[in-house]
Amino acid sequence: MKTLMFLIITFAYFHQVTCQVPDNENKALDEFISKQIKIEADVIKSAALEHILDALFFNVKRIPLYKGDNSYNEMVLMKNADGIKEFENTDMLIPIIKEDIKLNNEAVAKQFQKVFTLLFKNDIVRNQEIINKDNQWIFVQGEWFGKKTGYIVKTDSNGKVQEIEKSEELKL
Amino acid sequence: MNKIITILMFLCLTVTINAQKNYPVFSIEECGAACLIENEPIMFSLESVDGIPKLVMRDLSKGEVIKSYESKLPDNTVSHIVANSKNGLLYFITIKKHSESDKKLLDAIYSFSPKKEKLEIIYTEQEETPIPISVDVVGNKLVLSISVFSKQPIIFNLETKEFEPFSDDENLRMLCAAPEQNGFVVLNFTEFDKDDNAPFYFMSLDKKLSQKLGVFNSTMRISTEEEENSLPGFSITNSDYNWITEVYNLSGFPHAGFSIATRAGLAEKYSSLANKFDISNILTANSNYLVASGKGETFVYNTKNITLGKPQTVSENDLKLIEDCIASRVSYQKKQIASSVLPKVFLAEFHLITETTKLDEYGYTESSFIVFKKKDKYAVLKNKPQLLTIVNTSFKLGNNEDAILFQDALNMLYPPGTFEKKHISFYKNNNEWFFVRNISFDKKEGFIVSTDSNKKITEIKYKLNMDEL
Repeated sequence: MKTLMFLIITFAYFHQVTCQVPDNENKALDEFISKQIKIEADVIKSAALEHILDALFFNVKRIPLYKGDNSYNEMVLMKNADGIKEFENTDMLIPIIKEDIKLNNEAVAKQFQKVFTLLFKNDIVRNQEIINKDNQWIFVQGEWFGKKTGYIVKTDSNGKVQEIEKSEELKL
Repeated sequence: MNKIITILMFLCLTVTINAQKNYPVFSIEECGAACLIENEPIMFSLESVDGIPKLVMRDLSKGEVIKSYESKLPDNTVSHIVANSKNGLLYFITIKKHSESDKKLLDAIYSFSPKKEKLEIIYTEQEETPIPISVDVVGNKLVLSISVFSKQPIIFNLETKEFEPFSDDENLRMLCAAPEQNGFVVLNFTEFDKDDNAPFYFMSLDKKLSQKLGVFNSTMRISTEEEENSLPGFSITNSDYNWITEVYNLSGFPHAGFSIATRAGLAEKYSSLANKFDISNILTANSNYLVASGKGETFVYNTKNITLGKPQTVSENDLKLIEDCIASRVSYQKKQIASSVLPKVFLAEFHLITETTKLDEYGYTESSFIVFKKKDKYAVLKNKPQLLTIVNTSFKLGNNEDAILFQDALNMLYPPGTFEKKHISFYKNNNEWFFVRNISFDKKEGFIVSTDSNKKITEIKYKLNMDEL
């Protein structure tokens, strides 16, 4: 019995004792919490995005005011006919490349590079380069520990994009 | 790299002190070089218009394009654009790659007349000259700064179209050009003392050197202790030259990372920018505006009349869609922190809120915070000293029993982890009670609670090293 009492006291002492909140309190808290989240959004304006992709993009910051430290989460959201969702990776690019876009010259390649720079915000962009080898375009975005990082875009013989791959170690 | 991170940390720390955020007046797709016109809300920038690089003149108050020039631009990359307020011309500096390496070199100098829309090449460099870090127009001379302290600037005479020496004294170095004053702020690098101080002078275009105007201190020290920070700056003894600080602060563009902190006034402006983390480069600035770029965009700020509210660039409908999209990934679990101890110590009800954010099909992140309700009003418990605002007015911290009660209340709000439990303890020293919450690397972490002569709590502090007072 003594042991049991000790365990109960210890549990009460060292653990946060919580219980569910009633419905009215729950509703009031929901309302309060919603005011603790601030959303800042901006349209990403870019001729390159408009020319290459069939979607609208937003830079979004979610600022949890409850933290009180000015921190925020950043993301890119994409809006097209299918609705709005977070833009996360290169796989999401190919379905939204406009039908008539052909990656077969340097001018279009430069626009692709802008697209990568604008949509992949976490990339370290420095000393950008574009290298074309047959149906493959290599977009060097930067360097990380001596390794070139960026994107490899493969096209068919007409310049239609077939594959986009991110690489942390580009082989030039 | 560490230095850059330290500088950025310092600049960020400064930001937290500076409460007013300056939002961009407008943003555009990242442009190449840009140049501001002094005393006029006008910017010239190299932008991509329908995929073609063009020189664009913008109204800075609204961001609207006043004119997009059809003239062909130089083939090579333009690194700098500068304006000559005397003749209304713009000058473009272009760069080229070394034939055998990736090294970038000075290529050519062009002039451009916005009135006549005429681009003219005025000089082609045949030598292997490094690219300038900044360019200014002083009188009829282009001043190409190659390095701050190790080399003198290169002076290009716009009339003779030839280079000429900066000064006959090879020990003189330019701190900044002073276009409005027709000269340069200089120092003699052999006059630096052991504390990195050197007298500075004004040198006119005809190379006449003023008397000593004061002392330039080049020390840059960045510390987490604010009072230990030191950025380069001037102690001016001749008040006729007080303008030097402002001119120096707005010189040497572009600046990136570490370089921003070489100008204290510029670092202060940078610190107030609402989206400073998006910025990798300050392209240019004058006394009214600042132009910066990063992450594929160029932002223009009014630094004289700062933009406090964020300009709305998203429609109400789209904003609602965005908010709904984000909200759909986040859920909150709310639980009341129930205890018979808490009401004795604090006059509030506490709720633990756990926020769960869905990352993908399988992953999620969780974070928690405490909300308290006092007199039917909710507030977030953002920091531990805030507890003082809700201490029960009848609670006294006078003896060990009171301290046990207070410690129990802390345990309810901040349950100790497995490795912290053994360190939970308290002790008293004069009118201060020390509630130890953890010991790590011999450092005691916890609450220091001060009381008055009536045993009422007057202050609650939280220290990571309680012995360091």
